[in-house]
Amino acid sequence: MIDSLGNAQSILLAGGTSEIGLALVQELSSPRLDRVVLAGRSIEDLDKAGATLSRSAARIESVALDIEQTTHHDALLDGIFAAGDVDVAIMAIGVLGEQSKDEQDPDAVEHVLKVNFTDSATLCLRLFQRLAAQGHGTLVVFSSVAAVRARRANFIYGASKAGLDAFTQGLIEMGRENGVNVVLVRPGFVRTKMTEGMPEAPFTVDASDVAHDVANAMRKGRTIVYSPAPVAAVAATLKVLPRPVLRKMPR
Amino acid sequence: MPGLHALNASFRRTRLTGWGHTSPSVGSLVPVDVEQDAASIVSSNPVRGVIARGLGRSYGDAAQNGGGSTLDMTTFDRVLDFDPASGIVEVEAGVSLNTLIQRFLPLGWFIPVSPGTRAVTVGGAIAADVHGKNHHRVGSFGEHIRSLDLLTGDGRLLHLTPEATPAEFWATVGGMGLTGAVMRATIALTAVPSSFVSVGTRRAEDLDALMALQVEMDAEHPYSVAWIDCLSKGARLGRGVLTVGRFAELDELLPSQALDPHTIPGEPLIEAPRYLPNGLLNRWTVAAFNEMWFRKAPRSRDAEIQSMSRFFHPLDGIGGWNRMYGSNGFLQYQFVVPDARADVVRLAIEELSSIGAASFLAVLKRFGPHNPAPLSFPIAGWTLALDIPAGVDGLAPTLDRLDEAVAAAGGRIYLAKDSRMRPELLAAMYPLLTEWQDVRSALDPNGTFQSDLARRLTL
Repeated sequence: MIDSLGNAQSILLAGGTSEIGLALVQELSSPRLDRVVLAGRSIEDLDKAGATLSRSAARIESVALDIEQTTHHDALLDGIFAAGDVDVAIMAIGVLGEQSKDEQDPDAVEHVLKVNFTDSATLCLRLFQRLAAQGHGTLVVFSSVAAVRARRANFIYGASKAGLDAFTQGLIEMGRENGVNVVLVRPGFVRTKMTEGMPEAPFTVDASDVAHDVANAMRKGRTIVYSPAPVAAVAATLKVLPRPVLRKMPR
Repeated sequence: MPGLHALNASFRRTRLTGWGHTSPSVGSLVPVDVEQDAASIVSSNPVRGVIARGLGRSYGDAAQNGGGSTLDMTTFDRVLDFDPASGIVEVEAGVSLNTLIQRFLPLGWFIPVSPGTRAVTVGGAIAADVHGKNHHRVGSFGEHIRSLDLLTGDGRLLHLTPEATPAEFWATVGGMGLTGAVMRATIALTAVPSSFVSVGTRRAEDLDALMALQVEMDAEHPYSVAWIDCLSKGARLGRGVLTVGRFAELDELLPSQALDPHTIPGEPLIEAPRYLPNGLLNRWTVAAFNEMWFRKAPRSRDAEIQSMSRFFHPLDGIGGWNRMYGSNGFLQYQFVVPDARADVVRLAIEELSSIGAASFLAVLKRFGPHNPAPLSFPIAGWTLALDIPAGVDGLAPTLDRLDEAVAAAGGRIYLAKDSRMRPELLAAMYPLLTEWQDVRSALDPNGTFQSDLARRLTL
């Protein structure tokens, strides 16, 4: 149960090695936090990630989760929820792909779309159902500012996130009837392993900055979060920019 | 898969919170009109269990059960029997204290213990073992219950009395509804000469003076409580106004009052607006209110005749006053420490004042001795209760520090008010916790009675 002062007792991070996800777990840590479940591909990597969480939960568990093995997801989540309520579920699984190569390779495109959209959306729904069944909880879903407008430089990733983004907007509405708070996060360019070596965009931030913004939004009960805040204006501009102008913009 | 379809689909899914409007959860709200309504839910082995709810005046999450069932007891509200000679009344658990007052004050009988609001059901008053301004004289609500009927998790209906079934009776008193649902109770009312109160008021310029006054005046007055200005600092820290009282005799009333000496309270005078912004009650508005309230009180006055409502339930005059705190909601922090550790009261006022946690409802009172109920809140000593907006910066770590100080002093936090304490401190605060848990397991082996509070604190 998230208490009256906004402190969670248990957190599930799907994408347990995600830097932004881990930063959010760290940000949500308080003396109330009792249990953290890190779910991801490699138990070894998850254990390492768990060890980086300082002053955190009494219990940190690592659970093997492969986003593409969707037929395993129900049993896996049932196991996690059977051990106790989850107050905050964070969906931080995603792949960036490599636009210039992938756009020549339909199979590579399918992989990005499947991981970021269909497999992620169904996992979000499975998480949502369990939070709804316990009558409380927050689901945080990481979309991207790239979901707002398709651009030449990253439209495959953008399309996949646009799908997840639209789906999550629906979950926000569904959550209103079921006691589930759904928070949709649209970060701008974030410095992480995933973006290493890429040229930085304006308003580039660190994972901890995004985590801070998300935690703030959760406390205030906001459902759609741009991070950093100026990205909201960037997104609004991108949305209405005539295509000829959009083409001339860097990156 | 515990999906939505697994929930009890035949009942309305309802979002519930406590009086503080924090930590909502959604579950099935089941109206109880007859005993069978409650019994059939309890014996259906409901997903995520069941808890009884009265008028929702617990501040935190005691009377809600996310994903499970919550029994709405307010429609189970018949007065069953009354003996005008002894003042003993038998009621269904959803009867409110307001109903008892409306029905029996005209006959010269008052509720034995009155909390700060009349909008409390008898079942809730037992489950939280509520106290009032007369705790130092007569103890808490549970001590005036002659018997009660408890619907347990395995579907039995037990008749409990303090004499024949002390363990089960006292585990239910203060048991936060987790031993079962109280269905009926027999209460010993108190005879009063009128519905007016003869009130004495004293203003004290600092905390020491206020506490000394309270110790002195408690000895002579059955009802006693102090309001504290929690934002005053330095030499004025803890200044406040002590009010004491007793029910007035007929010959003390004005002729107009004596015409109807057992007049009863009306409906709320005004209603708080539906939507109010956050931050309306902040350190500046509250400081202004406190200054006014303190100055308005007479330095010393005796034998002022007040109505029962004004003395006991001043906030009942404003319907929905909890909305004053906006959508962020608020919490009430109430603890008790033994007499010898009155220093913790000062510490709490200092710490909360230093982060600007403005409280316009801050109440100081001395309790009499503890009763046998393991989870009953009052122990002999000082209790301080403060309403605090949930959005105050630095509130969580400050209250955590105060919890530690309270526990170390041999004190405890009131579960009916709690919405945020650390589960680890519970055993230190309530040393009889494991005994209570043993009785509860025997009464409810499958853990059918559950609440958000129980899960949050792993009660």
